[in-house]
Amino acid sequence: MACPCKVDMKRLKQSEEKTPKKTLKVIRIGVVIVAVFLFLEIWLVNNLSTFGGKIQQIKNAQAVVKLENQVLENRIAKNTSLNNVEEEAARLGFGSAKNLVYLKTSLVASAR
Amino acid sequence: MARIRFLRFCFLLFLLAILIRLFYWQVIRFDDLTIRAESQHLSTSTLDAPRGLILASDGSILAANKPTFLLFANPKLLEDKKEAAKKLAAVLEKDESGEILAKLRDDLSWVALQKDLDLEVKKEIEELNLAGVGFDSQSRRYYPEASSAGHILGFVGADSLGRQMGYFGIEGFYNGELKGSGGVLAEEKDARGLPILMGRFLKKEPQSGYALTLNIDRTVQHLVEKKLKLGMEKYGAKVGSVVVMEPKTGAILAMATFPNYDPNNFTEFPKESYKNPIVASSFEPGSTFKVLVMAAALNEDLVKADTKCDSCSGPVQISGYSIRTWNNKYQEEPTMTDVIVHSDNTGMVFTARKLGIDKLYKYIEDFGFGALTQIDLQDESSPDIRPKEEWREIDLATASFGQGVAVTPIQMVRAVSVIANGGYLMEPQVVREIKMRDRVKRIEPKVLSRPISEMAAKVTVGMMVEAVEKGEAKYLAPKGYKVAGKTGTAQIPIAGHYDPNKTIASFVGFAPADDPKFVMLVIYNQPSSSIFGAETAAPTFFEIAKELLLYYNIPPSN
Repeated sequence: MACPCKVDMKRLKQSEEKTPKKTLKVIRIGVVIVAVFLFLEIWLVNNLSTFGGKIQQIKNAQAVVKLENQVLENRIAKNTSLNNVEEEAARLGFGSAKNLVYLKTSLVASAR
Repeated sequence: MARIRFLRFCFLLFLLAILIRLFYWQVIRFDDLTIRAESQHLSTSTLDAPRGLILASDGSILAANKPTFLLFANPKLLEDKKEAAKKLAAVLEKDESGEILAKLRDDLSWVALQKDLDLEVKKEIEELNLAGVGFDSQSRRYYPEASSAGHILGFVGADSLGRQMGYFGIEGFYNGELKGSGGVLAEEKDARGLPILMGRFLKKEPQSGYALTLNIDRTVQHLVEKKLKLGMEKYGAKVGSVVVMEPKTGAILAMATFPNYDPNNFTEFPKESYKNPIVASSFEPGSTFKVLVMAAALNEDLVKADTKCDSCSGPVQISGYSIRTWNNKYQEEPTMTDVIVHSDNTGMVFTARKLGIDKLYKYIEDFGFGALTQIDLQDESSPDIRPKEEWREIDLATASFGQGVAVTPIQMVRAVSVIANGGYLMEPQVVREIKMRDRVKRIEPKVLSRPISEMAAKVTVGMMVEAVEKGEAKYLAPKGYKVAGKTGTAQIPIAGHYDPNKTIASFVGFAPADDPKFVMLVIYNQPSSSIFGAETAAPTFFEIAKELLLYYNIPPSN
């Protein structure tokens, strides 16, 4: 009597031949993906490592602009100081009012 | 086999040694090495908080912050020290480069060359491209109006730890609000000192100081200083002061004293000039005090405006002293109004006797004398009033015309404002609002007490108006306006007696009398052109008052 556990050797051989090809394909794709991610990570990390320099440049530029703003504000404050305004006014020929007349409603004539 | 076993044993021993050494560095020395590693790549810097601005009532800047730089050098990195010193001396406008060269000694790694450099000078030095030269950022207080309002503002110096600190005036009183609080920045940096984006980053933001807006009107302040300076030159006084206050709110509109100082360069002025005499120096007020004594007597209903003095026809004798009028002229039964108009000392003795020591002393205290006014300026002081138990009749008499009693100018102007505003004692205030991070805190006017009634104030105002219209200063008053005022000429006590040739000449008043916009006190200490308030302080008062009436668009009532 033939053993029921006997395996079809021919079919088994065929399936064994198919399996290595599939596995290899998966492995190859996996390696490619890993390699891509590896290079991506290296590229990103490299970029990040140089970003610090750009950030420092932006910070320095910001500090310079803030300083210049402060200097300009102070210059405006000095130029608009009343001592300065008085000197400029005198130079431009302005003077204080001498004869003042306050207008009351009784002094004003109007017609509709 | 034995040799192989021996070799194996040696390898195992070597491995054990490595493991022990690794254990030592990675476990036992872990904390120490972690700290050292962090100190190499973790950079910590303090972030300075900008000091708060001080603004006038119109928002213009009275005190700001100016970026400055400390120039330093690393002599070890400088190739040609002589050339570097020469170039730097040219930019720094020094006559010789020797001073800079002396600092660039070989044994130093860091040396400060010049501090407080402006941004423009820093840029000029940077263009020289000198290796081994760098800058530290600093900040310095800047007052664009220079010496104007110097006594009000105070200045910023350094405390014992080198930190910025305000002294005197607003800078000193509000130092806590103005200074803000510093921040910290801790970030990982690479070998080149550049920040690592994905590294550790800790930041505590600096909190800027609060901005203060003052009640000080820049135009009024400028006008007051200009007129006071002219007055100082004209009358030859040692010290001159003017304070202008809004009587209904206690707001200080202007405050000036000469000689003064420039807070931008306070170190170049004597320390005595830092003190604000208006809040920290005392004087005997003289005849300006009479209006307060009269107001007290009116409030007690002891006299009326037309009450006649029956003991004013000649000098009054008290305890061996003879009380005379300033010009030794006497009237027969003058009214209380006449007493104020003619500044009659004998009439004031009559009034003071009606009050008595107890009541007069109480009113002196009620008007705010002998105590601080609580004005928001650092370094206010108040002279003491002699204890009531030590007063004798002669003290009652002399106090009635403002001698033997010491006051500060701010106390005096505040007391007279009680008459101007209908009887309320106000707290004088320089700051109007404090701009905090999330809100604006308004400083509301504060009524401290009510020493006299509205009726007493009104009658006193009437007397003061007559004093201007009929007194020695009548020719100076602006036409068409009702101005209330009183002159004062107080002798200065020196070494136990009064010097008749040295006086404090003053004038206190307010306008328009029926609805006062301002109260003003003008004081000249030892004017040389004339000893009298009517001839020195009064003209300055009216010159300023005319300009103020115009500035506030107050038309004449007549």
